Amino acid sequence: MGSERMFYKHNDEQVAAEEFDGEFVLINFARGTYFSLRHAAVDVWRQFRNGANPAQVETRICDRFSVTGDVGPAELKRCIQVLIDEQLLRVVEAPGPPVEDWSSQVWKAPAVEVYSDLQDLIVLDPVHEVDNTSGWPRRAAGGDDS
Amino acid sequence: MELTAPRAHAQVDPQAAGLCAAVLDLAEQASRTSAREHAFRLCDGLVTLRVAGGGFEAHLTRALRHAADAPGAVQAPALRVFAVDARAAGGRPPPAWPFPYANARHLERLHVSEDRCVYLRLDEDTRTWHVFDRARRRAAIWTEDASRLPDWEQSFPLRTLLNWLLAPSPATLAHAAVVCEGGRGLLLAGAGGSGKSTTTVACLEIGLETCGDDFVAVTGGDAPRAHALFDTIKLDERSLAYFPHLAAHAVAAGSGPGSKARIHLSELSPMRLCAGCSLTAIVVPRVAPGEPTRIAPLPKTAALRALVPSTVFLTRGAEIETTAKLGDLVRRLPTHELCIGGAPEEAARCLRALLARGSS
Repeated sequence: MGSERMFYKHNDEQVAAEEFDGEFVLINFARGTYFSLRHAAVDVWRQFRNGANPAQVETRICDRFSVTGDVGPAELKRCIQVLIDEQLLRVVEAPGPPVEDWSSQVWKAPAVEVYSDLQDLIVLDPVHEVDNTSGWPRRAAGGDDS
Repeated sequence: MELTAPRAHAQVDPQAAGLCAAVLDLAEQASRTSAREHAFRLCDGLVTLRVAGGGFEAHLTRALRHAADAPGAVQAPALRVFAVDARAAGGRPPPAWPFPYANARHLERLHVSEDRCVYLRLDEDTRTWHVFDRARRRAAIWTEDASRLPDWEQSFPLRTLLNWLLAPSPATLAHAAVVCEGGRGLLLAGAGGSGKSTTTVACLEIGLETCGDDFVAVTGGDAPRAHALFDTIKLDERSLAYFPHLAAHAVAAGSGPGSKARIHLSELSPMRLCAGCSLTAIVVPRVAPGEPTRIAPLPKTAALRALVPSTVFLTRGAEIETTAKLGDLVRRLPTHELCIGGAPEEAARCLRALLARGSS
């Protein structure tokens, strides 16, 4: 999980998100994976729209839904970690304003489904970063090849 | 084809622009040896094609013959394409790929300028370049040896360039089949093996038409439409067994696992290939042996998962635009599952009944 000083936001350059009926479908173009987010996972995703710290997102959602005990926060941590591990979020330098956009009034544990059945279709060089001079893909300075 | 007006060529990415121009020059010069310029009307726009290399010409044009238009038509081309088979036409090769890439294991390179005006793609395996210059409305395909290109590429020639051409327009490619009757159609979405092609042929057998079996163009908005691009239907061995009379018309069945034969519908039954139709619903086929064949409601997210990922993973370079346009289409149209439990003809009759019911 990111430290207190780490901030993440939607990885818009390589991830598209579409919302239908309270469910998000995310597609990671570079990795060939796609995802279904439901219940509190929708709130987790929304909270990172402008840039946020993982621990603060967890706290905000727990406060919003009056989640107590160990189970709910642990589920939120796992959900956030999936978003980070699957590169659906990217690191940013600073947080943005909090998002006041909630999925419902009641707590439902985050549900994340990962689909990797189309990964074989990905043979292109993954897209990483974009800038105004080199287009994409652009390898980050000193970046690795993984 | 509704396309945004070409913008002044801002040199936000001079290296890409220079490389694109170099490959375009190579291809344009080489294809001057070809006396023939093809013209195709695709998605209401005109695309011209000049090819250096006879075998490559057949490779690129066979699936598009249904859309052939008279060269020199009054309408200005939306895109002029120059294609070269270097083994046949000779000439210098393009420069080396100059851009960094993230994973050396991948065989294909893609570079898109930040202003989305210049697109470059290199397949290292077949040494095939696709370049596209939106401002000049020109594109090129340069391949080292067209005989090394996979046969299945003949099913959807110019697909890469059409994807980039359509990116800023209301239209987009969709990895889907369309069956239609009386100008109204159903978009059949699903990954390979979901039953799209077999169902499409079964629909043709009972008198319906199609706009395409694998890739079509679609436009959203208040009146979603499908447009035919390619005349091919791809059938695997199991599907051909259902329709043995098509075997004589099948080309390049191949021998490996998952290999598919091509049927060129404009050569076999041109009246069944429909240039375009309105779309009334999205249908996701699912082969389910033992279950009754039926149409059932399907959540929109499931339809989106069936349509969008495979489309964008197979048509790179315009992923954000394609996802937004297909997402809009899914929002606007009713979505159904076609559970295929029995013979393909049963599925075809279910689809005909759904078409007759309208968009409910």
